[in-house]
Order: sequence, then structure tokens, then C-alpha cells
Amino acid sequence: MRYMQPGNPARRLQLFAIAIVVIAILFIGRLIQVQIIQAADINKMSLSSRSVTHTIPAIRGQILDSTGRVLARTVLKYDVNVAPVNVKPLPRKVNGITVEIPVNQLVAQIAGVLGMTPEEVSLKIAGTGQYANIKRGVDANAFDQLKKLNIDWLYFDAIPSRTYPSGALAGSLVGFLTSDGKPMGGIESLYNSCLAGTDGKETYEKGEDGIKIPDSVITTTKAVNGRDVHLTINADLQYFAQQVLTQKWASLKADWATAVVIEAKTGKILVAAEAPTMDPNKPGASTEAARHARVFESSFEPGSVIKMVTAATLVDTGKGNPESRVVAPFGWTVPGTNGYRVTDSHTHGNDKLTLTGVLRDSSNTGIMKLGQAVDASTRFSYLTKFGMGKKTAIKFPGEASGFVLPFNQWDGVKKYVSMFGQGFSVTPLQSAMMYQTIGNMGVRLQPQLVTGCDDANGNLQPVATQPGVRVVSEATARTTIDMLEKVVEQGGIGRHAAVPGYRVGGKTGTAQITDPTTGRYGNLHAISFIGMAPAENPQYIVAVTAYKSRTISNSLGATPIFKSIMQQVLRTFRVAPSTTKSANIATEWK
Amino acid sequence: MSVVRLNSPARPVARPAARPAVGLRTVTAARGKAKSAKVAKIIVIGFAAIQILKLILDITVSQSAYELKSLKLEKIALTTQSEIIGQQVDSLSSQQNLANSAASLGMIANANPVFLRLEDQKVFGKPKEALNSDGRVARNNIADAALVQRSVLTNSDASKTETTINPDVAQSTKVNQPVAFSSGSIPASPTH
Repeated sequence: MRYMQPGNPARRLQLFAIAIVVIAILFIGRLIQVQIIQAADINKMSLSSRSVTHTIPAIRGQILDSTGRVLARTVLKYDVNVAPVNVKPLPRKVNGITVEIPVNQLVAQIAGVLGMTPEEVSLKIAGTGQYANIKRGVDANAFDQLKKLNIDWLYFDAIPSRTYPSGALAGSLVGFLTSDGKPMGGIESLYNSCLAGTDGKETYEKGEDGIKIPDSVITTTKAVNGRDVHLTINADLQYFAQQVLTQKWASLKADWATAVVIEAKTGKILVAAEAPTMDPNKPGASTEAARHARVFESSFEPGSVIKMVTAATLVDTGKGNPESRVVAPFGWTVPGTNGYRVTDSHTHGNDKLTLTGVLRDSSNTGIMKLGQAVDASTRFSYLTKFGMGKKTAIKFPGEASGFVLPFNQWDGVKKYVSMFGQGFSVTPLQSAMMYQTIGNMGVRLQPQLVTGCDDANGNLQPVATQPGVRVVSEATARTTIDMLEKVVEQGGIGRHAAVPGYRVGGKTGTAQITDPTTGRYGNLHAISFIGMAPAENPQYIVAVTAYKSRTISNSLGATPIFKSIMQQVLRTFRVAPSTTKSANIATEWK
Repeated sequence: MSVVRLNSPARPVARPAARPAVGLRTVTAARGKAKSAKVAKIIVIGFAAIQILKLILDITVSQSAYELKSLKLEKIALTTQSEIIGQQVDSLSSQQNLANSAASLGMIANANPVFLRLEDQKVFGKPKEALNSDGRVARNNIADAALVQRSVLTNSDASKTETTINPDVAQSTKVNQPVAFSSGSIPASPTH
């Protein structure tokens, strides 16, 4: 039999003390490890598990017309998402009784709001995943209706989205944003630095219930909203011009048509209309070509509207005057060429015309015979002074500069055909600005599309305007306007541009278009009419072009558009009717 | 053996000094200790008060966090409403909607505007009736995918419009309110 030996209490106490010390040392060691050695990492892990970083989106600035009407602004749209794994029937109280609404009924409700079929929605919410998108970018109205359905397995992400309340009105001019918010063309691109803001960021800690822990904001960077851009465009006039232009473009069966309205004394672009154009709300619904602002981007041979420049050059250089005489045949062989013959657009005999008569009848032979008095170098100088071959100061995205060969590269034919607008190209805006030069008494201004951009306090900061350039003398400009008036008073086609009550000056243009496959002029034309009113003191320039018109091949297709728009412009700005008569200039001689 | 009785000390012993009489007197409590206790009491009560205040403050702040969350939800709801109303205003005030509404009400822009110069009452242009076929653009040609709402023109609106152009009413106006003529041939407004 073995008996337990009595212990040694002192020794037990000693062992117990040692154990306590060892445990204490372990704890202290662990404490040092946690609190000192791994403290930073543990803190980081802890913070990341409860901290949330939230981006505060900056609101992009608005694009406004000259009257403050909003052409583009940013609104919130919503992505509708679902966690398929959570999809289940939901209890609802009906007449005080709780009933369970089956999933298919909820799906039908969702589909009704989103404009989808129940089958489409069912497909999206099928499965056991944690995330599925049902529809992106639904508007606030749909979002509100969905919220009212009170379906707790639907989730929403608010996304700042661009909207264009006026739709296709000045659509290609305004531009648009891609689905990821990048500006594409137009003012959206050109003034992105003003319109775009800087997103802010907020990081804070949240509790288990998702509520922000008070005073836990770690970092906050405030969002800086974008600023508004103010255009010179008048939206009401733009609408009117686009309406008229779209209708006529369709009836002309043209590739495209443009209409530009310029304020003669300031160079402000009041209208830059085109057809077809695009609705920036749905850029994908338009063709790629329709997304471009042709007023700035398309260049073409201008044709007879350039005769105004040739006439002004003749007068300004003293080599001609409004009553300079010429015998204008139907056809004329260009001197110094190998029998290159130029004809007028309509058959006629040897007409005895003055320079004014040449403009009235738009005689190619007449303008060449008179214009040859000015050497090529001087005429080239005037063409460039009128702004040809150079981009405007607007620097619109994709803007074309047009094309003018240096005069020393002009061959025998080009020296002559350039007098009536062949051999070089201009944009619709450039051709309008040539007439602005004359309408502004010989001083060419840079066209202005944007009045300014707001500063951070919402005060308009006007864009710097460049000083005007004198191209011809005031007297020459006045004389040229007087000649242009005869085109509208007496011209066979020009008279269709007359606006009752006002003196109007302008010029027709029927330009041939080179067929790229043959390299020769084809059968279709770019028809134009550019004019100004009131002629005694021009206030507004209207330039209309229809490219490749198929039903009317001369400016008769453009004059009704010009007349409608000019009439509306004069009415809109309450321009007093003319009280004086046009200058007495002979157009023919005997 | 003889015993000598020592009657007197060998040397004189000083008599002990007379002790002062010890009397009872009142003793005041130790002041320092009492003061310390009071301070301790204040500290404890103050600490407790601070803890209670902190607790109340924490509860309040926590409540505020929930209130803040609730207000944020309310803000989202109001923003949504604002967006909805903004869209409606944009749609209703768009040129496309106005043009369509005007056309459906029978309004026609006169293609032949006539101007009156006030200084000599001269008329420019030939007054002509606005015709439905007079070169006007019959329908809206400008697409607008943002157009989410269109003006609803009720029968009463239409009847109001009809009343305005009712020839009988026009006739009665002509009969009852003869047009005043000034020195020229231009009808002068009776209000000037």
C-alpha cells in the first residue's frame, strides 16, 4: 500500500510563483508584440475593416445659351442592381392582412417601371450571385417608383449623368459625354477644363450597423464642382433655324445643310444649325457623320459666294468700281491655258454688264474678265485676309482650316477660277465670316461662340476677344454692300432672298463638287446663299449651305431658308425696318 | 553586625521641578485631513458628474449619428423629387414641347410679319392672314430623348382657344368697340 507523501508547501508555492511569472512574461511578450511590434499593422487591418471611403462626385458645369437656357446639365441617374442570392418573396399588408407577394409578381412590378419585360428581369435576377445589374442609368422618376415598391433585395447606385434638355438643338455643337464621362466633341471637349470639377473623398469609420461613428472622419477632401459655360447661341433662334433647315434639307435630299447667323458688329455666332444632327442624349442613334459640327469641320469649294471677295478686291485696289464695264459671254477660254473653257451656269449671249451686274447675274466669265486686272499675289493676299485657309480663334474640336494654295503654286486655270470660288475650300463658318467682314465695314472679327466661363463664385469671366483686322476700307465695304443689294433686288435667284421691309444684300453660290473617284467635278452642287440685313447698317449675317442638293441644283434651294431665318432674326431682335433706298448703281450698259 | 541606617543621602538630590498643572482643553479636529476629504469628495462627485455628462453626450451624439443618417435619406428623397420636377420643367419648357403644344392649339406663326414704325405710323410689309400651309414647318423636327413629359392640352384649353378665335366674338368686338383712328390711316390703340 502506497501512501501519498505529504508535499512540500514551500516548494509548491515556489513552483506556482514561477508559473505565474512565466505566464506573466508570456502575456507581457504578447502585449509588446501586439501593442508595439505589430501595432501599426493591426491598426491598419482594424481600420480597413471598419473604415469606408466614399467618393464625393463633383457636379459638372452647365452649358447655357445666351439667354441662360440650359443646353447641358448634370443630373443623378441610377443603376438598378440586385443580389440574386437574396431574391425572395416579400410580405405585404393588403387590407390589414399580411400576405406574401411571390417573386414573379415583384418582377412584373420592376419590369413595368423599367420598361422591360418580366422575362428580361427574371433573367437578370436568376442565380445565386451577390451582384447583378438589372438596368443602368434609369432616371429619377423610375428610381422613385422602384423605391416605393420597397423591395429590399434591390440596390441602387447613384451616378452623375449628363442630360441635354433641348435634345438635338445645337446637338453637334454642344457635344456629349461617353458612358464613362469622357467629353466627346463640341463644347463639352473644348471647355472641359471649365466644365469639369474635381471629385472629393471622405473616409470614415462605420459601426456594425453601417452607421458612421461620430467624429470618426479620417480624411475629407471637398469636391470642387465644375463651372458653367455661356454660349453666344440663342436657343430659340437656333430651334427655328434647325426646324426650317431640317425640313428643307429633307426636301432638297441633300447630304447635309448648315445655317449660320453672325452678329456683324461683334462676330458672335447666334445660330450654328445643321441637318442632320444628333441628339446628345442618344449619340448612338445618329450616324458618325451627323455627330460632327459641320459648320466648323466641313470644308468645300465655296463657289460664287467668293465673287464678293473678288469684287471687293477690285474696288479696294482701285482696279474696278461698281460700274466697271465688261462684256460677259456665256463661255470664255481662259488665257494662257490649253483651251480651258469656263461657262456660266445659264446660257446667254454677250451680256454688257457692270461689276454689279456681274454679281447680280453671278457671271463666271464676267468676274474673270474684270478680276484679271488684279494680280494673283494681291488676290491671294485678300483671300487670306478674309480668313481663308486658317482656323478661327474658336479652335473648335476638329475644326477645318480650309485650303488655299499659295499663289505661286496657282496654275493658269487656278488663277482665274479662284475668282469665282474654285480651287480652294472653306468651312460654312469661314464663308459667313467673309461677309461679316464686309458687314462690319471692312473689319474682320474672330467669330465668338463662347461668351465666357464662370469663376468659382459664379461670376462670368468673359473670354478674351481678339482685335479686329481691317481687310478693306470702309468705303470699299460700303460699296460692296451696295453691290450685294442689287443681287437681292434684281437677281433672278437673289430676289427670293428679299425680306419685305428691309434692305438685304447677299450673294448666291452654286459650287461644283469634285467626285473623289474620278477627280473631276460631278453633277451635284453645294448651293449657298449668304447675306446681310439691314443693308444700310448690317446687323446680322445669315449663311446657308446645302451640300449635294438633289432636287434643286442652284441657290433657289438656299434662298427660302435664308429668307425665313433672316426674317426671324430681324423679328427676334426687333430690328427697325429700313427707311432708306439702295444706292443707284447701274448693272448693265449699252 | 551593625546596621547603619542611612537617614540622609550622601549627597543632596535635586528635587524635581514642579510640573505645571495639566488641565483639559478643547482640541480642534485636524484641519488638513478634513480638507483633503472634502477635496476627495468633490473630485469623486465631479468625476462621476463628468462621466454622467460624457455618457449623456455620447448618447446624444450617437442619436445624432442616426438622425444624420435619417436626414441624409431624406435629402436623397428630396433630391430625387427635385430631379423629377427638374426633368418635368425641362421637358415642358423645351422648344420641342412648346412648338408641338402651340401647333396643337392651332397657333400659326405668320410667315409675313408686318412692322409698324411708331414715329410715322408707317406699315412695312403686306399684312396677310397666317395660313396653315404658308411655308411653316408643320411639326417638330428636332429630336429630344430627354423629353419625358409633354403638355397635356385638355378640352377646356382647346375650347378657350376656340373662344378666342370665335368669329362671333370678333364680330361683337368690332361692333361694340369701334377702332379709333388717329390722324393717319393706322388704327390707334384706344389705350394710349
